[in-house]
Amino acid sequence: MNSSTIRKKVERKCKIRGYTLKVEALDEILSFVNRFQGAQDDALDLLLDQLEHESLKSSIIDKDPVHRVVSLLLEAEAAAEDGPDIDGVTGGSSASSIRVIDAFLVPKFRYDPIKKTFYEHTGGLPIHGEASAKAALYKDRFLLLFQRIARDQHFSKPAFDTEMSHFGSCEISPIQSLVGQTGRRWVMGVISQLEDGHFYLEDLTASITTGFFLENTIVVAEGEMVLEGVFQVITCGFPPLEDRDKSSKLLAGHDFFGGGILTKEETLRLAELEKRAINDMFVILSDIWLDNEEVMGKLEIVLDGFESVEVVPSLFVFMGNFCSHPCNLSFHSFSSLRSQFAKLGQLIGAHPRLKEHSRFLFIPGPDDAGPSTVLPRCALPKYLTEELQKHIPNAIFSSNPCRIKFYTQEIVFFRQDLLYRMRRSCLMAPSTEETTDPFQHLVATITHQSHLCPLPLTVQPILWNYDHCLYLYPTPHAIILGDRSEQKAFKYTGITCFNPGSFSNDYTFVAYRPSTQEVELSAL
Amino acid sequence: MTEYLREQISSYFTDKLLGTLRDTILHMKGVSNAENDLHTSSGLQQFTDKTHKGDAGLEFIKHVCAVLALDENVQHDVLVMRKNLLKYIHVREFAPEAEFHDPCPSFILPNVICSYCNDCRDLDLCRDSVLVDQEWRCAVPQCGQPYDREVMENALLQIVRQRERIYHLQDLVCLRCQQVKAAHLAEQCACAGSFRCKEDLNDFRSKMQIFLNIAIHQKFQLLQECTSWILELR
Repeated sequence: MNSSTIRKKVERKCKIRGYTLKVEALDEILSFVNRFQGAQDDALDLLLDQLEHESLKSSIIDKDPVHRVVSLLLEAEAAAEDGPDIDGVTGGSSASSIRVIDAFLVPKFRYDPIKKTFYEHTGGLPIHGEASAKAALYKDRFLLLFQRIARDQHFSKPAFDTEMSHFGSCEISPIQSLVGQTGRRWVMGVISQLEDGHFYLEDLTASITTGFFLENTIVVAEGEMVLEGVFQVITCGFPPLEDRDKSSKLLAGHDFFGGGILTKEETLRLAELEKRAINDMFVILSDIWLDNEEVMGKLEIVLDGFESVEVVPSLFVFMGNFCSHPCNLSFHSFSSLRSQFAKLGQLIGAHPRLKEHSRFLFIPGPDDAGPSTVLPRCALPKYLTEELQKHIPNAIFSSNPCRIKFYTQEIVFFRQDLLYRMRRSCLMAPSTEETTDPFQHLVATITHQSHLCPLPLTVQPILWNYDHCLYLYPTPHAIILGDRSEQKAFKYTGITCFNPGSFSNDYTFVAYRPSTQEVELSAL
Repeated sequence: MTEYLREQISSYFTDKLLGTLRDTILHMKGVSNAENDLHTSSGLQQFTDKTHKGDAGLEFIKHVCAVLALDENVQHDVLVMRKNLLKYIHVREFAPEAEFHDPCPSFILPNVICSYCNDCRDLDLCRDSVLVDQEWRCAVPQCGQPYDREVMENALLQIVRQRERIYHLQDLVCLRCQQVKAAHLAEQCACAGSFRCKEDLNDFRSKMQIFLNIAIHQKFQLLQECTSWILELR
């Protein structure tokens, strides 16, 4: 937009609101609006809204009120830019840049197939669910993917019978309808082991036998009904991915991520801030054994390195396990573990710049001390972290998995040895047609399933009422999987996904720049 | 011998207990009368009378009969006596309030090993009076070595973790046909009945409460934190 059009626009908008602008005022407004290239309309609207709050003596606007409003808005912006607030609740114009969302605080949405819309589950969610919660867990997962596939162009119902799409009609049929019908059909269902050794495809109506992929994953299969209850599969695959923007359009107004709903102006403003925050860096380490001298030494080297950098990283993420001994019957020295956490606090405290300007996030690992091994895992117990909190007051202890919202970017952290467990539970080896890298297969699986941990519930139990914390819907911008396998990074359909590797075994970690989604794999 | 006991129960014990019961009721009535002198509503007085009567007398009958009924030889006669006593205070024999519930739940920690004398035994952490009052020590008279607190806390913590995990792995059972649920997505059984958890939530919580009480009593901070999270106490 060139300057004359902007000028005309400003004049027109002010006229609509009944203001008469003086020349200096107009210039002031123009200089403010031109700061936000590409978002000028919204900036103008914002300014005019603020101007209404100002007490004006007459409808002739001078330079002064405009100047006041402009400085107010710029101040608010500068305050948000200056430094991330601690656990900020979005209060008007000063939103914090990094928001940590604990898994237990993520809102729960369920899909109603009759109304064809998501509705929020208000009311309490007990940690120990009732029997109905377990069935609802599977049903919600299925419906989440079902509604997504219904919008996909290949699988949607044709609106007019006369128009035939190029791909033929690949409408998903309920399994119950296959009884007594011949011909090739598409089905979608959950792979369940209803009888020992025999796998069935189950959907909301019935179940039929099939035989591969991971138990409990939801697959789409094309085939023909052969004998009683046996469905001969011709092709089989995961439900297609939905673009993030498409999901967001549909779900506008629903806070799936947990970071709070933002108005359009705020989203634009935050997007702008995000683009400018090129110096923000997250350093992610996984598997930090505090009881191992060598590991602590290497950790000190890393911290020393980042202490002397020009701009210190804004966030350090320390993922478990924090002890070389898993929490089981043979390991009982919790008091020494507590003092090791205190030592870590002192170590961090010995780096004044990091203590001042960076924040520290601690995510527990699967073998760390805590109430249970069921996902989502709550934060580390206060008994272990009290001392550390004293040294580092702005340390955050969050759940596993954990979500972070950086301005408008959605990042999910998850610490679990997924690769190993998936490969063990796999019913059939993944095809090596597209790639031989198992990490890429893992990323494809979790993104297509829209779930961080699609393992069978007997292998990895999940709290029945909190399965929604593990959803990846709408697909986040970045997924960080802490795994004990080697360090890897992979960009899949716009999602940045990486594994920092085990720090205690390989001394590898990752530095991530959120504004450019750049991943720096590092090692000592 | 058995004959003598049975005869004793139906005659001596029944009379003695009836007498004690009468005294108890009169006493409670006296107490409640003193309280209710201030109250004006007579309906309320009658109501509180009955509950007072019910509480003390009923509990007395329940406890004594439960103890006496432990001997299998005289069980039948004890039950007859119980029926008569309950009739006296106008409580139906099989009413839910007449059922005896163990007021002190028990928890046995298996295979506790003393570090000094290698003595291995099971400890009842709730009922054993020695353990409840003092610091946990080896029961062998010559030893008396206090047990390692961290080892004990860890043993209890692992049991808690295991039980929590098992709750979430449990089967669902149909309310009508008692069959275990096989399918994942179905909300109803094939017989159109709904499902319930095999391990009831309230039982689970009451068992966890025992651990919480032990943790608070023995000042096991980590165990206390973990169990209060499981019980969702803020």
